Amino acid sequence: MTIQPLFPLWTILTGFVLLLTILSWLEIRRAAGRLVLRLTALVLVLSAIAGLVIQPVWERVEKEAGLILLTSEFDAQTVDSVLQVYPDWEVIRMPDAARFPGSKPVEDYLELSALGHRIGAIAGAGVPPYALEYIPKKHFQYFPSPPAVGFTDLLTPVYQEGQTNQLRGKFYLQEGPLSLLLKSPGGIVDSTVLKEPGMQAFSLPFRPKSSGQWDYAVTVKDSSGHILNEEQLPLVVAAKKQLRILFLQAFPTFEIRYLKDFLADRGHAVAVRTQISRDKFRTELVNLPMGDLGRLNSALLAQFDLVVGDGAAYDLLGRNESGALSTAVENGLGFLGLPDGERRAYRQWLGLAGIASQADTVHLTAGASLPAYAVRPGASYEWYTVQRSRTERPVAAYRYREKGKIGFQSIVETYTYLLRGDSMRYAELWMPVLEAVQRESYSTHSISLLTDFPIYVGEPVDFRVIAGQAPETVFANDAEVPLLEDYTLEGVWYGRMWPERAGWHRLVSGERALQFYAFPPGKWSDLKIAKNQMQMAAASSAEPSPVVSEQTKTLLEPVSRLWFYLVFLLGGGLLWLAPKL
Amino acid sequence: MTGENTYIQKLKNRYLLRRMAELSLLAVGFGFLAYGIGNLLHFTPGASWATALLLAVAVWLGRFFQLGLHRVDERAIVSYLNRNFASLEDSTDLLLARPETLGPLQRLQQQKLFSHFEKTVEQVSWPQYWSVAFLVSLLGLSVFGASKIGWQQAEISAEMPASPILDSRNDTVDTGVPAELSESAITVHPPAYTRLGVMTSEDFNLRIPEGSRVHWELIFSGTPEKVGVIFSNGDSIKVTDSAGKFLFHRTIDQSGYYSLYWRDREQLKTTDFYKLEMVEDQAPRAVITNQEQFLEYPWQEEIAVKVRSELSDDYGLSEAYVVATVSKGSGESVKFREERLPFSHPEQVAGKRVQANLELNTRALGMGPGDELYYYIEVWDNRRPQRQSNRTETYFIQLEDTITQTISFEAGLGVDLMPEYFRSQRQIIIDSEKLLAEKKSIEKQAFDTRSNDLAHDQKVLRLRYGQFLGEEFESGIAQTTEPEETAAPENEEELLEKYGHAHDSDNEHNLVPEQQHEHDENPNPEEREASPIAAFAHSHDNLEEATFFLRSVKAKLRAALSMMWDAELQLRMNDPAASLPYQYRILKLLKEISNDSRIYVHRTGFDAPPIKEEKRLSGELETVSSSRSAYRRLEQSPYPAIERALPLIQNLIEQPPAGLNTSEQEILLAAGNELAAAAIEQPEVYLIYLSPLRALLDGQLDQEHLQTVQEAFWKLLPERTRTAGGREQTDHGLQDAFIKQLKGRTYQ
Repeated sequence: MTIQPLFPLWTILTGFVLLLTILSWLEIRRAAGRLVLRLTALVLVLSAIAGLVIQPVWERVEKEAGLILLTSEFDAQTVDSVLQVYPDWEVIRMPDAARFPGSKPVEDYLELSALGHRIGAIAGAGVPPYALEYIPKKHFQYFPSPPAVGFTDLLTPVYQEGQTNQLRGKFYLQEGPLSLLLKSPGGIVDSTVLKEPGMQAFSLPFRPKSSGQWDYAVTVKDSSGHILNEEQLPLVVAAKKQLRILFLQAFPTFEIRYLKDFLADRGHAVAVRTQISRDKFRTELVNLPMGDLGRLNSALLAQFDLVVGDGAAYDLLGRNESGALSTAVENGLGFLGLPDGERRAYRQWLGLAGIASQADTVHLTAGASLPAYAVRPGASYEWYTVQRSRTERPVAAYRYREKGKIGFQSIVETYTYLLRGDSMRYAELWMPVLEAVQRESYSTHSISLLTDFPIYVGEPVDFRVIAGQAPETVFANDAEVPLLEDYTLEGVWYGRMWPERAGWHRLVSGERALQFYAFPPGKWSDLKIAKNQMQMAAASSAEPSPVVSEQTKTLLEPVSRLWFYLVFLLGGGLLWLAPKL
Repeated sequence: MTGENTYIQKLKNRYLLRRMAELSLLAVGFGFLAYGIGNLLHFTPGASWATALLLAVAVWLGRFFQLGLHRVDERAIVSYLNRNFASLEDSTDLLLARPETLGPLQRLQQQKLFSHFEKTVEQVSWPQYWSVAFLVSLLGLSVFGASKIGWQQAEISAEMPASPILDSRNDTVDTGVPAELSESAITVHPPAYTRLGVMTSEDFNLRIPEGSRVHWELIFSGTPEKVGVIFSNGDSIKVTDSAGKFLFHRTIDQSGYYSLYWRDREQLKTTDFYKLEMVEDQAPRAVITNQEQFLEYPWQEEIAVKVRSELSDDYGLSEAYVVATVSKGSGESVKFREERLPFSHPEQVAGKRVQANLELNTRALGMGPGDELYYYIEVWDNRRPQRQSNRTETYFIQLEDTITQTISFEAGLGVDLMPEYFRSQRQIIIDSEKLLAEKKSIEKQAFDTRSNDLAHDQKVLRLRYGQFLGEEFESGIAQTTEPEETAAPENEEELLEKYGHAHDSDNEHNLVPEQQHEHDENPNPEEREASPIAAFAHSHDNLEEATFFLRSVKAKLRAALSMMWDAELQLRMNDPAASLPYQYRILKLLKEISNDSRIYVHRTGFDAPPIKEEKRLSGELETVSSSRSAYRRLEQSPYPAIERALPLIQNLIEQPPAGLNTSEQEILLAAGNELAAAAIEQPEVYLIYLSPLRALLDGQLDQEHLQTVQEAFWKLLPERTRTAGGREQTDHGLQDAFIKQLKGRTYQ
């Protein structure tokens, strides 16, 4: 037993003693008989009052049984097995789970917050990641439902306009073959056939024709062409980037001239500086304002994303210009070198261990064969290969130099593709290289989703804002969203919103915006279950914690006030009756 | 006041009341009359009621004041009683006076009147025109009732479409619903020369021969007020009714599409867009089956060359013959003689497919040593009104000359008109022979390299000759040419310089800037794209015609080019020995071309003005200055409106609005025009999308239409070349720390 006094215990005891003293003295002075009986009655009355104020409680310790939570698609045999091992466990089930003998229903995930500490096992498809937050102590063991035919993973990054993007994912099939078709707003763009049973990775290439938010679709067909499932696939396609490129050349070459025209025709900003003599240049500016390229300096180079130059042009740079170029690269500029034979200074600048003096033929993986200078990248740098030959020889690669990059493109005479009218292949040769080596753009803050695809109406969507300084207000569909700062990383903030309708939603933080699509419940159910199971497996433990089996609960039961009231009445009655006896 | 006085007041009130009732009856009668007349005159109900009310009030007030009812008082009543009842002895006035104000006699007379006043007054009859009022009311009610019944009948006939009534115009049953197209018949009359019969079709999508006359016969379930048809070129025809049938016709001279529309009961109905595909009359075809294009015979008195040909046309041939041109002589005395030779079998060319033969006899044609014969077949079809013709390639027969010609360089000529490539081909031969001679003394790798270099020279030579023949960028004679990038023509000169040896040019060491460079600095991109060759060459689309040469020389040149391919091939395969026979034949052909005085071959390259000797090789750059040029080139989209419309459609799919606003309609309309243009080009692909687009523009913004139109727009956008994307990173302290770590690795 313990007490739960309404006031500090010493005040209660002091009051009790004072009252007892005063009232006893008054009773003693009172001219009436039966003094002992009256004093006894007085003690009873004051004790009853003290009991009401002190509030004594009974303490009782009870042992709590563990719980097994049943979710949809659970395996009844697995549950039976668990119950055989833990016969004292109780069974609770979510509304979407089938009935199980002796199970008690749980209305929603909120109820798990009271039961979470007792959950020792979860069976079935599992609960969504946000529902795991209601189980603060995750001591449970997870028994997933058998895998079902359908998507188990799907990557939906922001895709790029005018590039061959890949829709990648995984599909589980029990027996094949099945066909996966990717449909754009204009119709089917690609398909693949999955033959072998089991988990199969797939990749469906597509090239979006326009930027924006588009409704694609993925269709699953069986071998007879019957549609088994079709799911909407809303995608975000980013607009192409307009590059700002400076070409440096010692003398006019076909390669740069055709590349310049190719880029300019597609709206890129291009500047070409051709050396006539030591201090005289011929300058051509396309889609750029008239300016002076006579002397390279930091301010000038900061206006460009990429500088392209061959060894002859690099050798003609003065010391100041070389220094400015080096500084600009360290500050983020990209430099793409076009090897044209062994030039020591140029080779060292590119970070190459060797450049062949003459071009040979290289066979690219795309089926093209072109002349190229064999280069040997320096071993002391970490190189990122953009293009390689069939024999794994690096044809185009780049390395980092602080914030910037230095790369090389060793193929020559690529302009012959343009002469043949094959601009598609020409673009495939050059654009990935230019894109890789260009200046990386940095923003003051970014916003990214933490919740995986697919996102559903009514379920929380978590996002992260990274900002150098406290971010501006974040709006979700024009409603302000409060942010919580990360307690370990400075400048990292988290937020959560609940989409209320199906369709596109928009998170805006300053000039940054992020679009995502919320599905109505029931869409992409196979993918949702697979992702839930993955999250559950990550959160669960191999065996239920022994803590779950040893759960105890201490109950405090207050002594009924009725008893004190009765004692008070008894004492009062004796006090009244005693003089009359 | 006395009781009689009160009675007079009652009399006055009763009179006024009766008059008022009479007036009201009259006014109401006139009111009904006015309303009825208004109704009969098809006034609106409001106007009729207003007219009726105004007239009624006017009648009432007019009559009220006419009768002077506003002036009626007790004295007027007394006066009326005095005038009409003698028994009252003109003393009724006394009834209004107080007795105390009267004299004794007046009081006596007053008492006397009191005794019989009531009895007398009961006989009073007031002046009234009840009958007139009743008559007017009756008339008004009659007219009102008549007009009301007639109006209701008219309304019933207008508002009850379900009750069938006979249409007196055409005795058809008017069902009250808009007319629908119930029957149709389409008759196609191909042009007579095609010898095709009349065709009928129930399908509105038509595929018909060029120049066909198409008759449409339409029958509707009702009688539409207006029927018309709109064609894709903007033409529209108003179709008239002819005994219940709507007939129109049109001669089809271009592909496109059309749509029918009709208006009935305030509703405009339209059909889908129907395809109107015209099958063009193809030009006739002629092929010589047994001859090579270039033949050379040693001199003989008589040579007979049999020419076999296959002639064909889709509808029929009307005429065919061989055009033979004999060229004789040399220098300024060159002569041409052209003859048109009929086929020997059959003599008359007719039918769709004919095999025609002819024998060319050199003696009959009067050919001598060194003469050349160019011939081709020209064939005509039976198209009306304008026949179509076609011809074969020009074939070439040469009799070898018995005279030997030598090349000589004229000393003192200011301009070297001798084409430089003769020396180049000869040089290749010399080099090849030299290489073969040194084969045993050099290593195989060196041999292969030199052979490959010679192949390269041969390639340059071929490219240069190809330029004369309009084949600058062909990678092979047998290969098909592909469309060039727009920038390609700009660099023809550079291509030659890149591949070729520049030592034969006037600016062999590039000591002075080429004139071409000044051209490059032209800030106008359009001018920049103009090739210098374009200024001289024929601008015909036909590659074959884009040369400087007569067809005979062209054939020789093509033969030389073909051999250059073979020569280059053998050199590439490191087999100069196999290449040499081709090279000798090339040189021979080139000699013939060069010495043939019937043509004038001039170098097509740029002849730079002679450079002053004192400036050559001086290295002075004072006059050379930096130059700058800036211009803009924007990426051209073939379908700008569709690119604007696609996001709009996606938004409409996401959040369907009640209707389109003006700007949205304008965007969709512009995109629709681009789609319509594509539908004309490819009706089998894009025609089906025009109807959903029109439905959108009409405000039917349902998902099916939106998705269909989006599919069309997306499909129409062309595949583009690979673009560049952008990776963006956040400027964060962790990023900087990472870069600092990376820096350590960068400078290892």
